[in-house]
Amino acid sequence: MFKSVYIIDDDEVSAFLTEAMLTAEDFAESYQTFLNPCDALQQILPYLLETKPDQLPEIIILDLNMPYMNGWEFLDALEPYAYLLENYCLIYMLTSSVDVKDIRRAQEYDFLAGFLQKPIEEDIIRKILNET
Amino acid sequence: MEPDCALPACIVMAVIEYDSQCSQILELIPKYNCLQPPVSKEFKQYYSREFYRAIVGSTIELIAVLDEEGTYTFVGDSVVASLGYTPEELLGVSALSFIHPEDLPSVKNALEELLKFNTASFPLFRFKAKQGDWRWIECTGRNMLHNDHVRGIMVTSRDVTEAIQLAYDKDYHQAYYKSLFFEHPDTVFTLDINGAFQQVNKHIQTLTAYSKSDILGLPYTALLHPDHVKIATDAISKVWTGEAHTVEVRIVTKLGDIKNISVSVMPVYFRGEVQGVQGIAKDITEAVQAQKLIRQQAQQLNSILDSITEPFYALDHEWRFSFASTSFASFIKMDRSQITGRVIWELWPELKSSKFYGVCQQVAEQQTAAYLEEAFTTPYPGYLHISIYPTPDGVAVHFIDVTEQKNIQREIEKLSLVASKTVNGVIIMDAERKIEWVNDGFCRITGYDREEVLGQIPSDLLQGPGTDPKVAQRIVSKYNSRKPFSEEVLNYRKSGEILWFYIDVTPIFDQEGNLKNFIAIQTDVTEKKEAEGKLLKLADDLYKHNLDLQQFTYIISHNLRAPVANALGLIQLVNKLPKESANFDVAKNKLQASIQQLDTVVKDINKILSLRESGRVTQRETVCLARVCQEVLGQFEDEFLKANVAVHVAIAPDHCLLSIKAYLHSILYNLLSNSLKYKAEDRQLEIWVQTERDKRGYVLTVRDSGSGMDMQLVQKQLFQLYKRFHPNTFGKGIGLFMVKTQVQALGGKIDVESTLNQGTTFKIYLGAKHV
Repeated sequence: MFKSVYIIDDDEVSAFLTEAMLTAEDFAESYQTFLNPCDALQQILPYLLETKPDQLPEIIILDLNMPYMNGWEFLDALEPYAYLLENYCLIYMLTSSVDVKDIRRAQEYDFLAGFLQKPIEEDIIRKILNET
Repeated sequence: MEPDCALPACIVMAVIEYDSQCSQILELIPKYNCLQPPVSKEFKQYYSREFYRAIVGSTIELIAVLDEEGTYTFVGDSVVASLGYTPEELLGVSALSFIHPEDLPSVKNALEELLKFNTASFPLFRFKAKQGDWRWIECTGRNMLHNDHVRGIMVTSRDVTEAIQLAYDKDYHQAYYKSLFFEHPDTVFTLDINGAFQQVNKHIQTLTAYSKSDILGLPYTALLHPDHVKIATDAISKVWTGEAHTVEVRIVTKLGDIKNISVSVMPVYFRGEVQGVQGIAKDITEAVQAQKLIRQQAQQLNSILDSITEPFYALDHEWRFSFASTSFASFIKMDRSQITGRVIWELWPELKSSKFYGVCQQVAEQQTAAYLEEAFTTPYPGYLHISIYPTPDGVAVHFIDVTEQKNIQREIEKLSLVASKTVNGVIIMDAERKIEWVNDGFCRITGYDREEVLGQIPSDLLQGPGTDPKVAQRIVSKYNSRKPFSEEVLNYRKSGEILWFYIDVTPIFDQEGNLKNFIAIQTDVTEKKEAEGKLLKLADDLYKHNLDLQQFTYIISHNLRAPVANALGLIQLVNKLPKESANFDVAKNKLQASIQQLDTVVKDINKILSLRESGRVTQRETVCLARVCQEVLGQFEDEFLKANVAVHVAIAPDHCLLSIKAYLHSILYNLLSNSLKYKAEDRQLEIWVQTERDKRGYVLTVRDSGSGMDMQLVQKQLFQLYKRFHPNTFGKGIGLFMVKTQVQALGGKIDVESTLNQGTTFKIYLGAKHV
């Protein structure tokens, strides 16, 4: 069971669903949902800049298709701190996209832990729990 | 006449012996006193009549006695021997009748003188001999009429015909030789045994400038050029041995001129001994000069002939090589010595069957020059242009190897055939790009006659208003670069029809690298170009369709998939959660919302697709932009009033175009709606709507003083479906996508400029084709 999980998704329904599913599987102690990725970034960046990685959430569930800042842009913003994230924070892309271009692009980010399809399923949640 | 000492002594003796008896005879004696013998009284004795007769008759002197009239009264017997008459034949005949008529007067004179003075000598006269020939007679007479014993005139005659003849001959020969010496047209001279000039003729002055008096006594060596003394002395020495010969020597005249002379020298024999040298000298300076000149000219001619690079040879009447130039020798790869004197037809018998053989015969016969071109295989294969000239000795032949020219010519003929018959247009221009020649293809394609295009510049002639100025400029600069190039250019036929040419231009340079010509080959690509245009349009459509497809892929994978995924997840959750849990109801409600969202997306897609389709098929109508604007603003009237929006409209009433009114309405509605939606909270919203003409039609501008956007962030995705950049404002992200789709459906273009916190400007270019 993880301590802290961020769910970044502009789609309120999707964010609700993800949190409900994770809760059902006892995934984490606390969940924080961001409908705007900028808000999440604002929270994370100080930890990285001040090199306090232990303050980071252990898991980030990131949606891809969002207005203003999409998942890619969010990852790009974090890329310079990839070395800090690696041991403290696992980022999973969770998207409704079934576009292969997106799957391929996800592979370019080394610090991305996984690319998951919406809706999130019990097996996947359990697998993440077991692996870590 | 002087008494001749050579008178026979016997006569003198006889006269002396009968002195006492014939005192008259003795009177003759003093005349012969040169041989006067001592007279002795002891010899005086009487001789018989017969004695005297015998004496008188046997003397060669003819002794006769004439009477006063000249008639013979006595004739000595010696007359028989000398004149052939017998004494009897003459006795009683007048002596004068035998005298030559021409001599008769002088004889008569002498006879009269004799009668007066008793003695006289007759001039020489001719006396007719018995044989009828005239004999020259020398005669003296003595009047002895008063002598009783004689009673007549005694004449003593002597036949001197032989002597006269001899003297004549001597004179004649002397004159002959004299004239040979003095009148000889060349210089004649004699040298004495010491080699000094003894006698010279008048020409010596012309030859040597020495006068006769200058030269007599001078040694011949004095005249010789120092280099030639030896030759001359050798030649003279040879003459002393009795050998006549001719030698050429050089002399120096009194004036210092150098002359070449040819001298024939011969010995002069006198009494069997060589007593001197006679010479005949001839000035051969000019001849030598001329000879030298001829030699030089011959030499020169030879070098000239050899310097001619065209092979050249001469054949004599027997067709033997009499001359062959070096270039000919090298042409046939033989030494000159190998062919000189050889008969050409024997050397290369194959030539006898050539046209050349016949022409050679013809030139030799007709003595007129002839020219021919012929292909030869002997002695070497090649095509020769031959000139044959008659010469006094035979024929002279020179030729040029035109094999290469011939090949080039053939190639040119083929090429020109191709150039004139090809379907393409071919233009030959000079270095100034003026047309020198065009082929039939050019005339057929462009409709111009050949004559009317000569001297014109193709670009000026063929380009027109539709020609892209950039392409025209590029063509000019490519011509100026003098490099081969090709271009596709829009040209016009004479009739004004559009013509697309693919032109391929090659500059032609001469051997010195000077630009001589341009050759342009034109290919009519009008059909291709039209097809290309259609293809381009098709490609553009396809590209757009492809973009649409990509867009739809995106829509399906994100916008359509998202509510589906949510619905699936929610169903999973609903099944999992106990009915009593709080989240169960929430999940159920959200499931319904997701399904509704799904429905909305499907409807949106349908709307967009139908919009796209109707843009293609809907009939255009005249739409006035001011009016549309008015209608849209009317719809926003309340809202604008509520939000205190200032709207500035500047649209000319005549700005009308063929378009789809509903689309223009929708575009304007969406833009104004966005302006209102994203107004800056801290200030009043102002909106400017205006139109202006541009070269293709109208530009519709909608500017606001709203919150604006960071263009760096948004420009790529601004017009995409379901893209939203304002998380705090309600919106589906379909408005600008619809605007763009509608503008594109109308054939126009949309641009956006925006600055964060200052405002946004949309410009819609409504294309010319709708004007």
